[in-house]
Amino acid sequence: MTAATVHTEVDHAMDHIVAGLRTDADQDRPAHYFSLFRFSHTPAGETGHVLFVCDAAAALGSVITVWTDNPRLVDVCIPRFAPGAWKDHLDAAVTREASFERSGLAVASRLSYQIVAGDWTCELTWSDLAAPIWASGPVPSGLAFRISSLMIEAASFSAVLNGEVVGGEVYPNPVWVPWVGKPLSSALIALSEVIVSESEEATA
Amino acid sequence: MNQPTPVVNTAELHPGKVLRVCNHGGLQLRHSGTETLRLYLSLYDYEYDADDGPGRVCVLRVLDEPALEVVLTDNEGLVTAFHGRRAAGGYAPLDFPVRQARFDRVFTASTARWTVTADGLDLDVEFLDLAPPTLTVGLHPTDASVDTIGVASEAESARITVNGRTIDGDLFANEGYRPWVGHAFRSALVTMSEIHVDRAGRGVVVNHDA
Repeated sequence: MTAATVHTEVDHAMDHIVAGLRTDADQDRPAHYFSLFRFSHTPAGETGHVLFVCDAAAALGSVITVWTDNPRLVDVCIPRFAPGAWKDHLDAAVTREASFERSGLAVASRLSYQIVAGDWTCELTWSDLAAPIWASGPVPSGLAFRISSLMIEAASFSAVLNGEVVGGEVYPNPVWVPWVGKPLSSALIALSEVIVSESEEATA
Repeated sequence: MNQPTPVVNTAELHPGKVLRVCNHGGLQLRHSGTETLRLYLSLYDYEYDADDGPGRVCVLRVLDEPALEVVLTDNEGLVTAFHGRRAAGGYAPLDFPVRQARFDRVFTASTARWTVTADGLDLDVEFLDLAPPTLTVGLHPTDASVDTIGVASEAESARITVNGRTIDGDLFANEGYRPWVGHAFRSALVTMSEIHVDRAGRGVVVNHDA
């Protein structure tokens, strides 16, 4: 008898940090959306960061800009993790190599990223953090995977792109209702997300 | 007692307080061809801690000459909490000097490296040829008050230097893990995304469909 269950088919391990900002409460999708991944394991053996910036960076010449410190990750990431509401724009997305510097994550405090891609800069800050929730279960998408995730809601979020503050407000995102039973903040930090194959029978 | 019951496309929300999230590098080396421990390193890289904030704690013991026993940290509050948990788990106190240090790390798909710089001490440890990870979920192996989940990868080899001096030695099968996962882990082990949750309230899993 062992104390732990063991899954050997780890699919992905990552942090996934998102923020949606609305400029109008009636919008179906946020006016601006940021989706930042920090992969520590992928089936392709690639690790690093990928940031999707959607609709916030028109001045940068594309509906979607992709910032990464590992360009090989982008192709790995897009099929599973690209923001669905913007998939029609992915072919025209502009990708830039970038450096990612993370700071913070003290309790009830904030998490910040400073991202630099040549002459582009992106400063993202999630703040007023709630107590973390550990959630696990089948992935919400219905694919044959289980996920474990540590979710931290942020009551506030700010983004500064090339020195310009991105407007909009954080809002309760109803997309989470089926999975966790309530809306979660549209600014959400998911740490230590681990996805495993649901078909695998864990050993105990 | 209610048990967690998976419901399709519904999450289980574990009610215990999330205590910390960390990455961990553990390395033990024996003198070549012997069972005598030469080096012990345990490096906790806390990305979140509910009470003491993020930071790092590294216990380093070099057991041959010149011997060295030290705790390196960039957050002394974490060291105090670390000692408290060891004591609660019945472990002997670590009466090692504590030194402030700077920590840097580089993780790739197959390696994990930490460099630690303190006044008069430079440590460089790298875990190489990491095996495909396994996810372990269950009672913490040394703290019965905590549930844990983490992604563990055994290293095929490791490299460590202290003040430029390479510490050689043999890796071995660490049997201490057998009661926990049913087999030994190699004595060079990296655990990523390790979450510790207080077991208080266990069995009252919140499921909104229940």
